[in-house]
Amino acid sequence: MTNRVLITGMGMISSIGKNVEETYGSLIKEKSGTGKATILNTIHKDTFPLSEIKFTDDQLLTLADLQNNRIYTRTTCLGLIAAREAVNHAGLKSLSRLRTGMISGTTVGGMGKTEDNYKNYLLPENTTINSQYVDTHDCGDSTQTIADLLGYNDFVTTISTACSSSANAIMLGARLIKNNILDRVIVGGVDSLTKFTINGFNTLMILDKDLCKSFDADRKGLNLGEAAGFIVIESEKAAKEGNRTILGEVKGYANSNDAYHQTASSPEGNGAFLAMNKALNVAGLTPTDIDYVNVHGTGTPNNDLSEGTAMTRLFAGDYFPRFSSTKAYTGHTLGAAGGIEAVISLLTIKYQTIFPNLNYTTPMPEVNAHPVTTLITNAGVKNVLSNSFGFGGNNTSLIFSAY
Amino acid sequence: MKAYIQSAASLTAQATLESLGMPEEFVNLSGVKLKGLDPDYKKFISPVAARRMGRIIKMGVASAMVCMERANDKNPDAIIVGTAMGCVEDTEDFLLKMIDNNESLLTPTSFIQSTHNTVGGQIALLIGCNNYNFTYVHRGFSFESALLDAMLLLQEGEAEKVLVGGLDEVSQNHFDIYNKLGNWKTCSSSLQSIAEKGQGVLAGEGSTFLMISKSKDDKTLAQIQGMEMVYQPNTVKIREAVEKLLVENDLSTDDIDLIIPGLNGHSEEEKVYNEIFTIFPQKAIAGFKHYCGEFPTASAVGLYFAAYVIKNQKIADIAWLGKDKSQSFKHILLCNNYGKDYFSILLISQC
Repeated sequence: MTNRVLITGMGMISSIGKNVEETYGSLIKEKSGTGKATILNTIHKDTFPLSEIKFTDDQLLTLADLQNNRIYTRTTCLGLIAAREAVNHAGLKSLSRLRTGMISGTTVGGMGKTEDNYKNYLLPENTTINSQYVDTHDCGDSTQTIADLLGYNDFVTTISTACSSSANAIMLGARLIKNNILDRVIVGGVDSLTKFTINGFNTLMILDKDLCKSFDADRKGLNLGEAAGFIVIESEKAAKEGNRTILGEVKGYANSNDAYHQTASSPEGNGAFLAMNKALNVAGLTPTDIDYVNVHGTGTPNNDLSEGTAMTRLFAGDYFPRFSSTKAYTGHTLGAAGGIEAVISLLTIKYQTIFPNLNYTTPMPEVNAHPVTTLITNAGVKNVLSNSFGFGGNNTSLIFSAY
Repeated sequence: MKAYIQSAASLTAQATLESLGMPEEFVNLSGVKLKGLDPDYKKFISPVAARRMGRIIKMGVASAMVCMERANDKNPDAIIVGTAMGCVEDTEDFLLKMIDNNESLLTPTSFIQSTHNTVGGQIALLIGCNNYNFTYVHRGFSFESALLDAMLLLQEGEAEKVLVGGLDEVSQNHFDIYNKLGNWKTCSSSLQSIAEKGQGVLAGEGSTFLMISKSKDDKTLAQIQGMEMVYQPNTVKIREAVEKLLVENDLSTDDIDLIIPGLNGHSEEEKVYNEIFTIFPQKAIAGFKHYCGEFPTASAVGLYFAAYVIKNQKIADIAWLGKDKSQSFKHILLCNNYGKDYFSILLISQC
C-alpha cells in the first residue's frame, strides 16, 4: 500500500496579499491585484497592467526577516516569505529526524538582478565584479537559499518547465512521499516580475493592454504577475505523528507533453487532455468526481481555446464541472502559478467557496464552456482539478481533495 | 533505486559523440576553454530548423538522437533533462538586445529558446512524444535530480524506459563573466588540466543522454545500482553515503574495481575526494574532466564513460590517473563534485 500525501501547511504572497489570510480576503471580495506597475522600472508600465507585489526589494528583505549581509534576490525573498508561512502553518520543526526536502519551480530565478547589472559585468574596464550578483542568477539559487535558511535540505531541487514549473514541483514531492523516499516536502514555486519576461511575452504579442478576460470570446492575452506559493506535504504517518491539521490531500497528478509547438498549444488540447485524464487515473476518480476546476486560463486566445476544448473532451457526458481562472486576481505568475493555485484550491476546499472568473461576459463561440462568474459559497467541493500548462508543450494537472 | 543503461551518447570537446566510450585521443587540446565539438547537425535536424536553434538546443538534440539510435528506440516513456544554466546563449542574446534597444524592437526567437525546458520540449516535438517531460535546474545536482526522477518512474512502473540527459553550455559572455570572478584556470593543454593544479577549473560544456530501462536485454551496457547525492559534503557524510551504497548491494570495498572521480585540477575542490581515496586505498583511478572540462552537469559525461568501461571492459590510456590499473571492471564507483557544495556518488555494475 503506497502512502497518502497529505497537505498540512500553506503559504502565499502575490499582488492580492502578503499571506494566505490577505489572499483569501481579496478573493472573497473579488479584488484583483492587477494594475499599473510602480515598483518595476519598465518602459511598458503604462502600456501593460501588471500584477505587482507592492513592496520594494528592500521592504521585501524586511518582510522576509533577512539581513542585508549578502545579496538576496526578489525571487528568494518572495519564496522565503511564502515557504516560511507554509512551514509555520504546518508547525514543522527542522530538528526532526524525518526526511524533509524542498522542491521549487521557477522560470526567471535571479534574472531581476542580472538584467540591472549585466552590462556592467561585460564592460572591459570592470575587471572585478560582485560574485554574489552572478551567483544568484541561476534558478537553483532561490531554492537552495530558502531550504538552507529554513533548515530543510535532506533533498533539494528546482524544476523549470515554464508555467507548469511549480505544479511539477508538487507532483515530484508527492511521488517522493508516496515512494517513501521523503517524509515531508515543502513544494511550490516562485517567480518575480522582470523586464526580461515582460519584453519576452510582449514579442509573442500575448499581453493584454487591459485586465485579462480568461475564457471570454474577446480575450486578448494575459497579465503578468509575480508570486510565491508553497504547501507542506507529508506522509500520513508523519502528519499523524506531528498532530497536524490536515488541509487536504494531493490525490492525483500527471504531466504530459503536447508535442505540438514550442510556445503554442494544440487546437485539440491533446497534452491538456492527457494530463487531466491521467491525473484522474492516478487519483482513482472519474470525471464526475471533479467538483471544480481551477483552470490554467491565462486569457490568451490560444490557451483558453485549447484548454476549453480539452475539457469538453474530458467532460464529454452530461456533467461539466464548475470552473474558473484565478489569473485575473493574481496575474499569470509563470513558474509560481501552480503553487499559488494549489493554495487557492485549498482555500476553495477549506471555505467551500468557489472564487469567480473575473472580467468574463461573452462565451467563446468555439466551445461550450462557461466559467463561474459569481462567488459560490457552500459549494460542495471535495475534489479540485488544477491545471498548469507551459511552453515546451508542458502540461500538468493536479487533483487536490478534501481529507 | 536501480536502472539498466541501454545506450548512451555524449557530445563534448573531444570526439565522444561518434565514439562508444571515451576516445583514445584528444582532438581538442585547448587549455583555456573546452567548447563542444559540433557535429554535422544536418544529420539530426533539418537545416531550416537548425538555423533558428540555439547551439545548446542543437547539441542536446544531436546527442539525444544518437542515444535513441543506439538504443534503437525513439519512443521513450519519459524525457528528463538536467541543465543548471539552461539556454545561456539565447538568454544573453535577448537580454543584451533588450538593454541595448531600451526594451523595444525585439523579436521572440531568442526569448522562446531561453526557456530552460526548451531542449526537452524540442526532443518531444521532434519525435512526437506526448509523455512525461521534466527539466531540472538545480546547480550541480541538475543531472542527478533528472536521473533520480527517471529511476523513480521505473520503480513506480510508470515507465519502462526513460531518456535522461545532462547539458550545459559555456558562451563567450558566460566565460568572460566567470573569468572576472576567477573561476577558470589556464593549463598547458586539456590533457594536463587535471595534473596541473590551480585555484580554478578548465571551462567546459557538453550534452549527454542515456536511455535507462527497467529490464535488460542484449544491448544493455551496465546497471546503475544506486546513487547518493551529498550536499555540502564532509568526510562523515561521504563515508555514510559510500557505506550505504555498498551495504545495499551486498558489496565490500574490495569489490570495487575502479574509481572514477570528477577530479578537475582545482586544488581546493579536489580535497573532497580524499575521503574516497581513504576508503578505497590503492584502487585504480580514471578521470574524465580533462576530456570535457568542468560544468555543472559534467557528471553525465562520467556516467557515459562508466557505462562504456563496463561494456567494453577497456579504458583509453589517457583516461588513467595514477599508476594502479585494473584489467576487469565489474563494479565502478563514480564520484563527482561541482564546486564545494554538490557531490554525488553512483555505483555502476556489470549485469
